[in-house]
Amino acid sequence: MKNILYIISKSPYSGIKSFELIDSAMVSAIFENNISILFRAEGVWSLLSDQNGELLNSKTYSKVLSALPTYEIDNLYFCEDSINERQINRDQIDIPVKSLSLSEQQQLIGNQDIVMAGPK
Amino acid sequence: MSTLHLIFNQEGLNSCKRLKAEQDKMILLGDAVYCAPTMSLNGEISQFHILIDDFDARGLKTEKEFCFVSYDQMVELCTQSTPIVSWNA
Repeated sequence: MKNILYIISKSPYSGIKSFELIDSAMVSAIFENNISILFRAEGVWSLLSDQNGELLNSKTYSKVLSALPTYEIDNLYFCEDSINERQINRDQIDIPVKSLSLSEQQQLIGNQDIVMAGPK
Repeated sequence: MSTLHLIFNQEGLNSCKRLKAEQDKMILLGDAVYCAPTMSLNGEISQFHILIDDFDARGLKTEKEFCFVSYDQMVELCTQSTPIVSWNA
């Protein structure tokens, strides 16, 4: 069993890279790895509630995220600074996700066996 | 005919703002709709049309009077404008 961290730093609906990382995390969780996901930079837009991907012929990102506990992925984090820069309020987010400062993110990364930050 | 700017993201918005003429029309779509809530704070947003499907799909909300357009209205704006400039980056 390995500690694996996925870092999502892309916005959800322009391209499928962000969806691919989440898919990869879910597959990894099935193989009994200890999965964490960190949302930062443009990736924090993924956390907003009430998204509707159907308007863009896409899956709805917020629904995929709310399914993660079913896959035993319970360690969801976001970068505090990224949320503040984009003036996103906590009440726009209704999934259980923890706020991390930059030093806490460094610690999180330091505790992992593998970090997947995804393709550029 | 007037120029229409299609703005797809934050970098596109930055470039467009430097290069557009006073009377040009602008539409925020794709990830550029994320810029709308912060721009509404200083009144700058009144210059922009916003594609409503892209805004709603991303779970964004507003109490302000944004100038939303549908896909049909965007096509109409495109037919009324020459040239059309796409700001992808």
